[in-house]
Amino acid sequence: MITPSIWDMFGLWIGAALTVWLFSFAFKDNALYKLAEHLFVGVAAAYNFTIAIDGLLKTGIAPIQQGNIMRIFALILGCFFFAKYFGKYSWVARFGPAFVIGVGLGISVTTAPEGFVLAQVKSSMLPLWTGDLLQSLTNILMTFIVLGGLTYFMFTFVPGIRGAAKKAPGTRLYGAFLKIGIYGMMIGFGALFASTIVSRVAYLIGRLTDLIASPEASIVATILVIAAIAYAYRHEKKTAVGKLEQKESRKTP
Amino acid sequence: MNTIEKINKFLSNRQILYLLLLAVVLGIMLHPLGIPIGIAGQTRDVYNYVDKLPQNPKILMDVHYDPAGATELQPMAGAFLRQVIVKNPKIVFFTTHNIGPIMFERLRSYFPDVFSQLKYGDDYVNLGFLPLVEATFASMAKGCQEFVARDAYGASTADMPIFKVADKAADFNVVVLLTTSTDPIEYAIRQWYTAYKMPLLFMVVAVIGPSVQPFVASGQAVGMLSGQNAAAQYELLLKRPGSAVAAVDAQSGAHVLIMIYIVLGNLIYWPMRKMSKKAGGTKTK
Repeated sequence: MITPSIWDMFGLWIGAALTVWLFSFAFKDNALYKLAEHLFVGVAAAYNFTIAIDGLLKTGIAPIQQGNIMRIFALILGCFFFAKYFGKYSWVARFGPAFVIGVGLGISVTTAPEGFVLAQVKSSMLPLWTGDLLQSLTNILMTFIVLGGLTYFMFTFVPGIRGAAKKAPGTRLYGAFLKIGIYGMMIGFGALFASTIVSRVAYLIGRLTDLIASPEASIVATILVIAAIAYAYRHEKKTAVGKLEQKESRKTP
Repeated sequence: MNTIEKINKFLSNRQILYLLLLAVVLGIMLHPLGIPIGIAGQTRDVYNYVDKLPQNPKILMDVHYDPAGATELQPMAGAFLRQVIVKNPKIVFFTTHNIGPIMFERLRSYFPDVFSQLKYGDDYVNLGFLPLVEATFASMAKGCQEFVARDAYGASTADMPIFKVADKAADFNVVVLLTTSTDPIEYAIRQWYTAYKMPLLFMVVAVIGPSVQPFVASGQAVGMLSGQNAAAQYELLLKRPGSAVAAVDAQSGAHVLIMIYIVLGNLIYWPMRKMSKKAGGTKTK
């Protein structure tokens, strides 16, 4: 059996305490929640700084040391960002983002139409009869929802608005597809919302798994946070009473 | 205050909902119910695809997740690695998420049975964090070793034997994206599938599953595992139940509670609306 080191135990206790303190916000804002929140922001900023430096060394400095001189231009573009601090030359800082956006657009534009338009259009052209009743019904439903969705986002030509009679066949057909589109999208949003719940519950399970692994730390952290919430309630009450008294004293001459 | 209003007040209290959710999830985690888990066709397809990979498959793996996503994605990654390990794979790990380096180390410590069979530099390499810009994906397709001069630990990649067989787009048998975001999915579709027809396998958190599904349906990806449920199914197919199988019961319990809340909320809505109309108001709380 592996005995955890003192640092492992320290990590477990800190992890459990911060988890409980952050969860406590769901019940009431308190001092321990604030401590955990500020700690998180500080640690995240420091961590990201080291990650950025590491990235710079790995993909910028190291290749130059190995003879890839072209990377010097990337470093120079990066240095242009500091021009922001020199008022007169701050416009030079725009070169970096401009280059990144230009390259990004250049490499994505060539493949985006095929990857996101043609492939998706092709996959939505489904056979309405496959021999399998269930599959055929699914395909028919898919086709109608796609057409309905496209109708919903058709803003340039809307039957029934520019002079056409409201009960004309074209207007009715447009209305029917519009409804299918709306219902199809509502079902889609419903599925997205349900998936969001699944993920959020998974996050909760993940944190609770860690808390179960260190029950002593979780209990101590919970007791501390209950005390902090009780203090927050008391403080709030006191402040409210104080404000009321102040108002009263202002009223009386 | 009548009974309907009292029930409405009870249902609207978020603190009670959080406490109930906590009690249900914690209770089921401590005393699992053992609800049977069905295997979805999509999960079986992924399992069969991985099963049919040739010997010594070359795999490119992006560990693009944070501790929150680890609950869903880590079991998938572990199950996938356990399935391919028997084929003596060559795996190039990298991450486009800033927390990714930590998550990779966690992956390595959670699955020592997998990593103890792989030799660093020969069978696998960790390139560490690479900033997530589309250009990164495009450059890696042209050659990982040339693009990343040093690995996550500062060692030179130039002499690593793995890059002799797993370096360019054409070398890889499958690209696995473990992700909590749709950004790397879109970049991979554009830079790896469309440009080089690299087979993509998506392992994603449930929240982005519906957004990724169209790419699987169109054949631009070889498959997708979405959420804790898919992870549990994959573990069961592998006959090695792990943390995902253990968590699915608690997931189901939480869903039942939320469904009860939705049904009760809707049932209460109608009498509340009637009462509000009677009182001459137009809004229901």
